[in-house]
Amino acid sequence: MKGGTLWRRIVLGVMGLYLFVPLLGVAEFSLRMRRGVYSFDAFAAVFADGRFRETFLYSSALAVVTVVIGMVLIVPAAYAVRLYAPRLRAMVEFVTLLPLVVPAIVIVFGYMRLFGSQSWLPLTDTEIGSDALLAFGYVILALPYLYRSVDAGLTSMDVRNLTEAAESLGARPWTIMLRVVLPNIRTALLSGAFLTAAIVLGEFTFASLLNRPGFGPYMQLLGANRAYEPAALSLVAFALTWGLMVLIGAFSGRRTGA
Amino acid sequence: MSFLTVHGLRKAFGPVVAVQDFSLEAERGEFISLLGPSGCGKTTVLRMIAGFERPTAGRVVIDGEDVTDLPTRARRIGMVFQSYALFPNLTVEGNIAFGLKVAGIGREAIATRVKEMLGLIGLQQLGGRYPMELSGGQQQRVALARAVAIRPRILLLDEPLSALDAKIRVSLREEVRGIQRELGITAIFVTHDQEEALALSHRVVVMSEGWVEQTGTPAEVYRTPRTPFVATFVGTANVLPCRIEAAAGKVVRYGAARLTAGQAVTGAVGEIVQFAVRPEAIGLQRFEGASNSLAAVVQDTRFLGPVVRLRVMLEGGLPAVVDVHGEGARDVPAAGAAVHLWFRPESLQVLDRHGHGARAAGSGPGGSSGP
Repeated sequence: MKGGTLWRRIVLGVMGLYLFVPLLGVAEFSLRMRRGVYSFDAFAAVFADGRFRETFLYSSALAVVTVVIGMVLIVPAAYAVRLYAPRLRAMVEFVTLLPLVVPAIVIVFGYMRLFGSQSWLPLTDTEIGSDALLAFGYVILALPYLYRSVDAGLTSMDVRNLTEAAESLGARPWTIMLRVVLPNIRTALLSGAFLTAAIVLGEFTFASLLNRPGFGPYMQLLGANRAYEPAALSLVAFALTWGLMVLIGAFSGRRTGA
Repeated sequence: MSFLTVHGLRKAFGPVVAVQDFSLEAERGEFISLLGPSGCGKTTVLRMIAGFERPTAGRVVIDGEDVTDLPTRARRIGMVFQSYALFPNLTVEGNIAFGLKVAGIGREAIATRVKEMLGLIGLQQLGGRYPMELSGGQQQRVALARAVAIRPRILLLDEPLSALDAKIRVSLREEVRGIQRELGITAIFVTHDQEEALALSHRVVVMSEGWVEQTGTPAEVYRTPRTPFVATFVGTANVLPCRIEAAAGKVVRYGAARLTAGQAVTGAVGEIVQFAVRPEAIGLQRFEGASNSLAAVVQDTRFLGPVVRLRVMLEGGLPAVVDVHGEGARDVPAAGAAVHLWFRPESLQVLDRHGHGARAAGSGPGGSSGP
């Protein structure tokens, strides 16, 4: 037992070092902007940069739009598959995993061919069109995470019986969705939403190739031209992601119906 | 016209036919059980009455209204599920109020009705709790209250007691029956438990392999089973293949023994007809009115508390069981003893040769079976 405990501690210690040493290195480097002393100058420079606020707000807004579109598409689809076509579940799961297999760059070049200036629907010709295209692209990127979260939520709630119980009490499909399904998969929805937000905030390929002012391209641009600010920005982005993860954990821990 | 009329219901799932030609008429306030083993189609019938399954053929008429093509929400039925199906995000009060809110009833009326329902199920103190904070029995009582709160025309119960332990099942089934009687609501109760069906129902519909085997009062179904399936599924029965001695007579022959049936047997002379005799209708001593007798050898004895069950082998190699109770149970013959089994003519029940159960129970030489 004692040997086992020691072995566990060694494994955890090595893993901790692997994860945190680079982070500590980045943190240390981000504080060395002022020669000879540690300071938060790099962080101040990042926060003072107007492009930081613009790109962060842009990506945050896009994350909200992505989550809304994703949920509107995926919740009814996952619900319908479970209730009316359970045999299709494996196939739908496979389809939702495709974005993990097909590289983002392939998808975005496909979009540019389909919706470019020469196409029958030239979405990339306008900013709003490109924004819409970006949001739809992000929905595709987030599909594996959103679908899995929603499906896990539906698994835990005995969808069929609760739906039938609500029907027998006179509820219409819309009422069942709003009063029975959504409240009972709330935690799963929040998990999916936060994961989606984390993905959208750091995404580079789509935003860059569609030439949109996303947070991902801004991080890349800063990294290519500055020394200390990228380190500070990495920590900020890391803190944001961790914050979202903590929120997922907090909502997951809350009792249903409480 | 009956309050509930189910006529010629049939349900096929692809090539598999789950329900065949199911018909039933139920009066207002009647409690009817659909009884049968797993996969016999009883739940499918209930789901077709509820509107969860669309019949391949047949009609469902409630209070004169043909509801066959109506969605569940428009049928005004109450349903209680085996898994309770309470909404986990709502409190007990919220669950009971759900159907009332959906119906657009005023807040005060809802509060009054919810209070009334909580009183009915005796859970006044637990209105603010969530389902996960209740025991299985309490959850099922809430599910029952939720179903009847909307004043449904028919209450449908799909094996509501199956997930509960034995003691709670018995107390809750009495509660279910009490509430049904108090509200005067027509109830269709699905169960595979014969004791539950016999104890609760005005009438029992015994089903097997999608067919109705027999419909009758609990006493009719038990005392005068129509098919081998009913005889062996509802209680325990010895099924004896006997040869008709005379056309339209009561006398038949089992091996060398001549037996007299309680009613005239139709069929040609020499034809084999199956008869059922309940183990508790058989005595090891001749008793008043017992004119039928069969020789047998005791195989073994089992002490079951109120009765001692003897497994015997009849002449001709057919196994049978005999239940001995009362004082006679203190001194039963040991294994290997030769005995005579005595029973009255009315205990020898003729079974329907053409019953669906004849196919379900197999067309073998008979024997005894039961739960």
